[in-house]
Amino acid sequence: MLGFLAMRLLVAVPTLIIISILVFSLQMLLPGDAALVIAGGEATAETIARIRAEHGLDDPLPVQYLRWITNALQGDFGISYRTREEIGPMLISKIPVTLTLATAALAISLLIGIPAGIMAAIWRGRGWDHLVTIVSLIGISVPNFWLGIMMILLFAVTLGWLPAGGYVSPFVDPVAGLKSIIMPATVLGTALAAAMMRHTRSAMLTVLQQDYIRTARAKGLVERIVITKHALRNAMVPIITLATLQFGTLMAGAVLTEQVFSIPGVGKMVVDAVFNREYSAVQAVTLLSGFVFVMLNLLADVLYFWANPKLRSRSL
Amino acid sequence: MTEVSAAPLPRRRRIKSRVLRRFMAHKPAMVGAAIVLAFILIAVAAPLIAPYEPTAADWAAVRKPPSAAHWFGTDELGRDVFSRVIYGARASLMAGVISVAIAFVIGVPFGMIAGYVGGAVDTVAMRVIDAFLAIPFLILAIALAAFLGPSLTNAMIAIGISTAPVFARVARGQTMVVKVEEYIEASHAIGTGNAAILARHVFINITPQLVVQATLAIATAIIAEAALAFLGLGQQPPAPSWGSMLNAASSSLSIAPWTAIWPGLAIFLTVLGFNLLGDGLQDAMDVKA
Repeated sequence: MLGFLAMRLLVAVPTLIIISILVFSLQMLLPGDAALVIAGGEATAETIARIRAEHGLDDPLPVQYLRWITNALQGDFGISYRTREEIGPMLISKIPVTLTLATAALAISLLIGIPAGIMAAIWRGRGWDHLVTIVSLIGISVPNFWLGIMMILLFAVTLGWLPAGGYVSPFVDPVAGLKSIIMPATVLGTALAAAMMRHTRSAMLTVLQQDYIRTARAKGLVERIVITKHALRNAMVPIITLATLQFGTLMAGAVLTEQVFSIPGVGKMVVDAVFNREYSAVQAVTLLSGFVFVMLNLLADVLYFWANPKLRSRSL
Repeated sequence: MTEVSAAPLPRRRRIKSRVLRRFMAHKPAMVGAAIVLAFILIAVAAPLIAPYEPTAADWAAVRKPPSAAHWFGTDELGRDVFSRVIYGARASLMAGVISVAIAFVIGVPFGMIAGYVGGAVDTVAMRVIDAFLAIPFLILAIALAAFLGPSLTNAMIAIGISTAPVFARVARGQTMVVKVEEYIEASHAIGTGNAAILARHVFINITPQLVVQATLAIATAIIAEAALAFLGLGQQPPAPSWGSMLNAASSSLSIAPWTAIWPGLAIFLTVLGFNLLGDGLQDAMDVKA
């Protein structure tokens, strides 16, 4: 297991380095000079030259990259030119909000996606299967920011049941917290629930065609036991992998959801940074999301390894 | 060389007609094709269908609910929402098709060369693809669009670059399957160069997977363009775009809810159409995208 983990970590390192180079290179897309962006449109040549020297923008690119990544690894992404706050601590303070939202969305998608997918596989070709296919297709086609707007229109504006936006931590006030997070989490979880339905159905159909399922049925086992003990347990391996990998996608989807529901998380931070031309903050969020995804990939590999007895026995 | 490329033609034709038959019999795909075709017609014939100029403000008709004069109502500047939805189809479809074309042009040659050459080139190429794919699609598109500057062209470039790794991965995988086929060996044997083999044989044989991928990618690109426009990074006002219409509508939900319903419904239907079409093509060609 440790050897497997070490091998996977080794493979992840070059990917992490390339991600950092990619994110650093984004600043080269800026029209004009980064110093000009920092100084503003009406700055004098002296001011621009001073800023360029202060930020080391005259240094060769490899030197600039090494300085940037060294600082980034220590959580230093510079300061916000608007609020004068440090970007690193600001980003860290937003993570729990987005993490809470993404976790709630993942829970909703699992609660909807897995049972629906299992039933679609069991009743393949019948009404429920067709319904799941249609619902999952709608789920992946509906833009989540529009779904969010429609839910606000129905549940906040028309019915007045839920707040239209804002965030209350469920750890501070569970009732207000639940009320503030239920709509955004549902919106964020919809596309994943749709993907989960399709994936679970497909994984269950593959498992249900295996010899050991036929053997279990031939032994006279009750269908419920065949499904829950034999089929589902084996189908869960790819489902867990998908769920882990999709957690990164949820973090990305949070950008729009947080914007629609005015939730002060990482997603809202990146949108605000774009509006305020705080490019360092955009880079910080991009780098963080890339690193989180690689780590989730590693976690998915470990879970897959742990859940697959064949792989485990091979490594012993 | 002539014998090598001419021999499989009748078989190819048979396969093509079988795929076409399967596709035509696929009801959801036909529904998808009809939706897509309808939106293409709407985009092309927008000046004939739209009753008003999409950017014409009317201060006497600000935020009017749907009526006989304005089927979908009017927005915060008194502009006809129906006309703006009709014209908005142009930006969305153009963004979908052009950004996927950009992704195709960058990703496919990259993936094909990596898969065909193999070895160290493939290892390096895979790490680069992995790095691109590790950054969530929308975050990468937002970051690229933010640095490039807000405009429809830059949004299309950002979406294209963000989608390219997906095409590279598909092209690489399929090239690795195709390059060990006998007809590739035969081409090598008669002295055909690597570039010609890639262009004439490999590319032709991996096209079905790429077509399916492209159809599904257009759906994703349309949502992404709408998302960027919603965040102010796509089509700039006053030009109509479904995403920017939703952005403006979200601030006046309680007084003009109709302004939020129609652009979103248009995005949903277009994306649904491309998804149905892509799924149908996937089933008809019996490939995995």
